[in-house]
Amino acid sequence: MSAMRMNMPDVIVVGCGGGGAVVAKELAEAGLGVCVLEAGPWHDPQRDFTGLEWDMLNPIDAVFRWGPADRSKPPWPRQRDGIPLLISTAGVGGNTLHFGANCPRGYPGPMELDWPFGYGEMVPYYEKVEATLPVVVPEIASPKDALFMRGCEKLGIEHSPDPDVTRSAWRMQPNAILPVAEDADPLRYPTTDGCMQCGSCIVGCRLPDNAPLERIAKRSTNVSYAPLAVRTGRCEIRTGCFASAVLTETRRDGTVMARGVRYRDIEGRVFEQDARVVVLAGGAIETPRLWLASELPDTGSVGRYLTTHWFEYMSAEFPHEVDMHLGQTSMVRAEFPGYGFVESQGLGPLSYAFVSFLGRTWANGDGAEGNGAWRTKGRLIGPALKRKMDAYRRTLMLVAITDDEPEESNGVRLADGLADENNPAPHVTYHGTPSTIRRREWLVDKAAEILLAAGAIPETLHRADASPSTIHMHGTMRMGVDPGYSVVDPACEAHLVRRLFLADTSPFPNGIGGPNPTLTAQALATRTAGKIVERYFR
Amino acid sequence: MGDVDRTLRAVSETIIPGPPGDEAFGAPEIQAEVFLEHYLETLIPGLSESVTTMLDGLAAEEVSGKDFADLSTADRVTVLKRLTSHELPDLRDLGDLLIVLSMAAVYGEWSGLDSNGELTRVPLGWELTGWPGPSEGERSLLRKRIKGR
Repeated sequence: MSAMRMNMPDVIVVGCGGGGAVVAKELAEAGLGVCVLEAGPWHDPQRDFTGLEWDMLNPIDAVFRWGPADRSKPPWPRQRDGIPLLISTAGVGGNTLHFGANCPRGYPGPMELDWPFGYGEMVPYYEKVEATLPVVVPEIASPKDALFMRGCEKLGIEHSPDPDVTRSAWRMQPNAILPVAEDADPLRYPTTDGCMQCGSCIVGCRLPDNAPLERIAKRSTNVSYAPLAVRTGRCEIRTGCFASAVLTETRRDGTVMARGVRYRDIEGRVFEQDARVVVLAGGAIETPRLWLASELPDTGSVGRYLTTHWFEYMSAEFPHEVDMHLGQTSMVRAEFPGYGFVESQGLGPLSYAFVSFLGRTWANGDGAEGNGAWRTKGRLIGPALKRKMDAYRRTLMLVAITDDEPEESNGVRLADGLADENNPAPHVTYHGTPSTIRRREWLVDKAAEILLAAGAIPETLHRADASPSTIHMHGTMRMGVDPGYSVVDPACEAHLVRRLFLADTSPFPNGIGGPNPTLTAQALATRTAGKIVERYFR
Repeated sequence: MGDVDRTLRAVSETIIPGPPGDEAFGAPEIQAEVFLEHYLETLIPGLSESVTTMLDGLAAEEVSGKDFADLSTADRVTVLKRLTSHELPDLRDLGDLLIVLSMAAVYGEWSGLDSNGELTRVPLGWELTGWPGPSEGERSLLRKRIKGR
């Protein structure tokens, strides 16, 4: 998609992922000139997305890795402590390129508790994003989801379609995916239009075949908000541009103000771009990293209180085919406020192997010992792994996604002795707290009950003992009223650097109770766009 | 020091065995060691030789005088467990990487690619699992066209 070139934008947005594209679109529609700096490329889904798992998702040279657009160059390095899997994607769309597109709202309870404004304040912004993407509740469940639904119902879990979740219930997933397409011949746009239920959400949506960018079914921001932003004629997206410093100036009264961004383009040239306002939207790792590398004033909270929803993956075999690979990646969820939620999930065989059989611990011997309902727990290799993979088509996989708690020691700092061409690498630390572990185990027990109620073969229940990962990540630049415990104010403007805002998941004061964070980040970015206009462009 | 190909072959066949230990084809039948060596060298030139040296060192501690590839399956598993729980994070990561690459060689698309990187045959892992590969749509889960439209 072509774009204008501007010399002096009103606003620079760093990062064009789930949040950056939203704030850019909202600001451009409000009449401001917006320049978005995106480290990765803007992919053409029909040309670049192959649907092949290793090609799209591997951490070394895949399309969706965290690294330069030139796949022959090494990925950008990171240091880890307690969290082996740091998942990020460079490119317009960011992590929404590979997300499952589940777009629930946060749980009202935790947001009332820790957010500086109540849940009710967020509802109009949720509604706006839900209408824009759009978010759609699918009408045809796939076999895996129907099975999960049956387990929930047999267990007596109530059904509630209410998007404002205050009690335990199961419901169809609110997904940022166009309505299910009509069967047609040929199976391509414009003969048909919408989701093709192909099961490839997380490896990058490229369907319907022949569809223009804005009719690609999964509503990653590369096909939704970013095109809307550019269409205003007031937004330029500069791809291959990695921000290396936020530039500031200090007034006579000592007030520090953002004045622009230094960045490196794809050919290695370094530029400085001025603007009246800077918005950071690089995600919960890159935003604090850029802040720290820029040596901006620190309230003491920068890079702290990372939450990740520490996932667990569980699976079981059935006497019949389940075909987890069919349909949207996840179409049903069971919510348990106070703990998190459990959902059915379908993956291709390689992704399934990675998440299910590469856990923290080794299953004993041939995997003969587990705990409780789980007959095996942890890492499997050899014949035991092959037997599990042989049963792929008869396997239902569930994911438990935990309401974890903010802990000061979990977070992001600059690494010692490791850097990319721009700055020191980020060092990410995450260790689950006792409360998080307790909640996670409660969800895992509930998942076992659901699997068995759905008719799973009891001898086949397996849990991965998964390590923490950044599939969900939030809270390293908390929003709050008190600068002693937060980095940005309730408008997401930095306490100590005026004209510097955030528009990603990093301002979350908590993990919103466990739900997938993208919609909340996008609603918050929509709200923040309004605050930027209100404060500096009226 | 053992031969790099032989060592990486021993690693991958321990993770995903083939006949005669297991009925179905596994890593050895697709020469998964080529895939492992490619990615180790992509990450750090010379890494595949370093891995061989390290695995042989750990093997010798397990069974005196033997290279990794000469160990029984049980002893290879012991060595891999020691590597993936090593006190040095980089070595733990390396152990995990060997497992990731072995799984990827078999259950990913690599064994179906030709020398130009084009998918020209059904990869082994798709045969083993019954996954039909990327799809243009699943007709059974689409809305049915209403008659008369």
